[in-house]
Amino acid sequence: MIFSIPMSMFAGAIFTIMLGSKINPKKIALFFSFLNLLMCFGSKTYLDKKIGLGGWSSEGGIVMSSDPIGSILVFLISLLGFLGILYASGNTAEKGKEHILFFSLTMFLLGALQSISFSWDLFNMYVWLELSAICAFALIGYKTKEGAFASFRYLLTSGVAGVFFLLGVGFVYGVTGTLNLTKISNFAFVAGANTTLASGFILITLALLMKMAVTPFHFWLPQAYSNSPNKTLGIIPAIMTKAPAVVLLRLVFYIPATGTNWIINSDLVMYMGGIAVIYGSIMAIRQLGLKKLLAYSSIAQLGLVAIGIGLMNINGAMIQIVAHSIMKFSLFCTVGALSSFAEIKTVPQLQELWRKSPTLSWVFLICGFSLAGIPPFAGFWAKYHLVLGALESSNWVIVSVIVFSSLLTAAYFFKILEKIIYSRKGAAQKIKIPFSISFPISLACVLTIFFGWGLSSVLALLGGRI
Amino acid sequence: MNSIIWMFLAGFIATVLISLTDFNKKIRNFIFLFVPFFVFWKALNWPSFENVFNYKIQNINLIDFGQNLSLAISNNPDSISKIFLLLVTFLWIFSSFYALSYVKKNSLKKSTRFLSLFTLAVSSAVGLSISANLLTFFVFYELLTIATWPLVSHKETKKAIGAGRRYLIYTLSGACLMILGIIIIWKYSGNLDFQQSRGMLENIPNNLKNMTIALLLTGSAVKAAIVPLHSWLPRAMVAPTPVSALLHAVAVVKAGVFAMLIMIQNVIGIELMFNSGADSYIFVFSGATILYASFRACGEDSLKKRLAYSTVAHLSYIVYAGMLSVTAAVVHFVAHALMKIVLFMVAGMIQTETGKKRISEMDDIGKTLPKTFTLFTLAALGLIGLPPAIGFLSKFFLLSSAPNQPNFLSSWIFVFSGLLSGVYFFPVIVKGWFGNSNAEQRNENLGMLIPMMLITLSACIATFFGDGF
Repeated sequence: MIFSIPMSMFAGAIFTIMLGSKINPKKIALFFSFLNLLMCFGSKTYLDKKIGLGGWSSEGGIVMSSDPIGSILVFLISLLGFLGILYASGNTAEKGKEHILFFSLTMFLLGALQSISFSWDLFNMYVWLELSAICAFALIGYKTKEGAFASFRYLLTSGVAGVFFLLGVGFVYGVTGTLNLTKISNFAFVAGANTTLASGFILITLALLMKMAVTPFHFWLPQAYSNSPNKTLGIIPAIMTKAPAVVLLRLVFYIPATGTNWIINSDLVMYMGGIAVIYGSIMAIRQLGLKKLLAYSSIAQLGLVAIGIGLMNINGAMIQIVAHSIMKFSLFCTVGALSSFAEIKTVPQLQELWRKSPTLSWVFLICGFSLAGIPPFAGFWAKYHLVLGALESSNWVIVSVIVFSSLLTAAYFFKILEKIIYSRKGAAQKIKIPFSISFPISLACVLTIFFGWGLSSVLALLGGRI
Repeated sequence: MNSIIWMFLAGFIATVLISLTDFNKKIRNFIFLFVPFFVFWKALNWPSFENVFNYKIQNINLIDFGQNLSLAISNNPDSISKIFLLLVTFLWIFSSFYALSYVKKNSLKKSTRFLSLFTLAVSSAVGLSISANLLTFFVFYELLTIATWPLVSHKETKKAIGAGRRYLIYTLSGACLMILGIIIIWKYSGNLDFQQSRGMLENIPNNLKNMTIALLLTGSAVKAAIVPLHSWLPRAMVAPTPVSALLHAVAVVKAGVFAMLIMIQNVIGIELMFNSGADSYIFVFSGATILYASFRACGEDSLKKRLAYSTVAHLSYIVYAGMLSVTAAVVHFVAHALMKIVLFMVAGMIQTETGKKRISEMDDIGKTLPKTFTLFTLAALGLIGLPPAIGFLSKFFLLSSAPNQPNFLSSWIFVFSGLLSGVYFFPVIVKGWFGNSNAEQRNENLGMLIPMMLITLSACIATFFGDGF
């Protein structure tokens, strides 16, 4: 049963709370997230099964489904979640008991994100989105002053988005009398264009764009990412915004375009994404703080995801989601490690990093090349499929935005690389980094390199369903 | 494993080994000197006969990405690729000896990084020449860009870092345009293989066809330094001289020209070039480049910059010739490479021995460094188009093909630019031999002198084998 996968995370969270004072919570969290990863490998989630929970009627009931889009994201969350927990457990100086809250919140967040990817009805999606948002508030503001303010911003944005989403769900339920995606889709297919359904869908789209931080709604993201504590950097930035993106992708693909008036929305999402790409990249060039730079770069990369969704280009959007999560995981963890083990927080301080820590320099090098779209790394394939999708609809504005964005990305990454490689100062001390931190970083970096090898099987999985 | 793979794999392995053997300079230097010989030996045996007759193995897939996209090596090369490969590997042998002497003599800092990236850059040029499809070609093209970037800024002064930045901006923009063209080709023909490249552009709708041609040509024109896109090359001369010699006279810029020739001859096809009207753009831009860069070269006082502008002019010369006759283009491709590398090496030698960079300071340099300056004179004469070096042969081929063209202007551009080469090289030669100063003869570093002599010698011998082309 597919729901057992997120359940293992929830079970882990509850065990942490119950037994955390006796057993080290790090170990419990690691055990359960590893179990989760094993379950993802073991169960063939992509076989597209649908199950009902709790014996409700199927109109309003809780339905879980595992389609390829959701399964890929669940697998990604499971993998990066395990690595992120490993990273967090290495990045904490304090002793066991202090972490009961932290690790249980993390596991609740991961479980909620996995449940979003599996849920097949609108209200269920709303519930899990809110659960993930609540866990994220607590993690962003976890025991730091500056984090608390950033967390408050995110709370407001996410609250407004939640209201929009619920209102949209209400509209849809009012028209169709069901929350099940399959039934909404059937209704829209038969009934055709419907103003109420379309406006409900617009509200849902807006809410999801807010949670995805696409440009006019991006304001919470740089603060939240740059002020959250170092140990959350493996969890929050890499995968949190990907779940709303996947929800949107799914709605776009399963509900017929005529019923929801998607033609108008698609342009909106696409051009908002385009603006986000340019804005995020330009802001990233101007940043000196490493975390802020990466945060703005995330805005740009999420803009690319939005472009993929707007173009209804499932390959491009999904590959971009996976590639970006892996690259950004590696980069954010590197920056977090630098800031907690060497007090390096800005670009100018990166000087002599090549001698201080070759491993982390290689991460910057490879992930930077990958983000800039240099083959054969992961980012190249994402851009490749996005450009193909844009060519399909012969939208030259978007094509040029995507191509231009890789130049802008190169601009801010080569700024970092210049600092790392060239230097004028003499001696440098080596930075000592524990294995539990260097292992997840380098594993994600290796995945970035060998992304192209596994690409064809992912594409076959996506192509088989849609 | 197939032996051809070792041709570029050897270079990459050597790069890693060199960077790991920082602790023992002797081992490091030995690897640095040994690899070019190995690769040259492999290049001579390429394509190996067993493979050519075994028609099944024509391309060797390294990595398959699915959807007809793969990294693959060709086993059935065309003549341009083979000549480019032999040229690069042949000159790699000599310039590695030169580079090592240069590093020792100038006590260059961070020499391990320098030598390993040097190896990486040249071996990606090798990979470029043996690639079997456009994707592989593009991957090595990018790798070459990135490997050369730290070499350009090696001195780590503000000027050097600025030059590196400019180099990256230009080449990465070019690469963006090129990959867009490649994606369009793949979308409409589903195939990027050079062997089946004839029909690559046939399926593309007419309104996109011209744009694709423009994207491919502009993308490769950046590295070939065609005029509005040339300004990275003269600035890149802040790099240490072995880099200027091998990379900015042979590997990098010749990769750009090689890309243009491949695009014109294989991917786009010469008929389509003429039908689509792209030919007139090539003629206008490269013609303008020849004239502009020659004039700029006359005005430059720094010897390396003068050579750089001369390179810009001669690269356009090859592109221009590529439209008229492939033979002429390839002969000049080889001739220019052989002679320009000698000229750069001489510039490096003068700078190392006397510290002089500017032409105005070079009174009687011929008396100070007689052997070196003799080589300079021979190579410069060759580029102007006078015997005994191979330069006059390429001029001959060019001029003999020019009158066949409807565009009569072309032959005049060749004649005129030959004169201009004279205008910017003769003053240096005259000043060097007949200047007024009390110069004393100095020792010339043999490690640097012998590679230069051997290359000049081979340039002169090559004259007699002109029929081979």
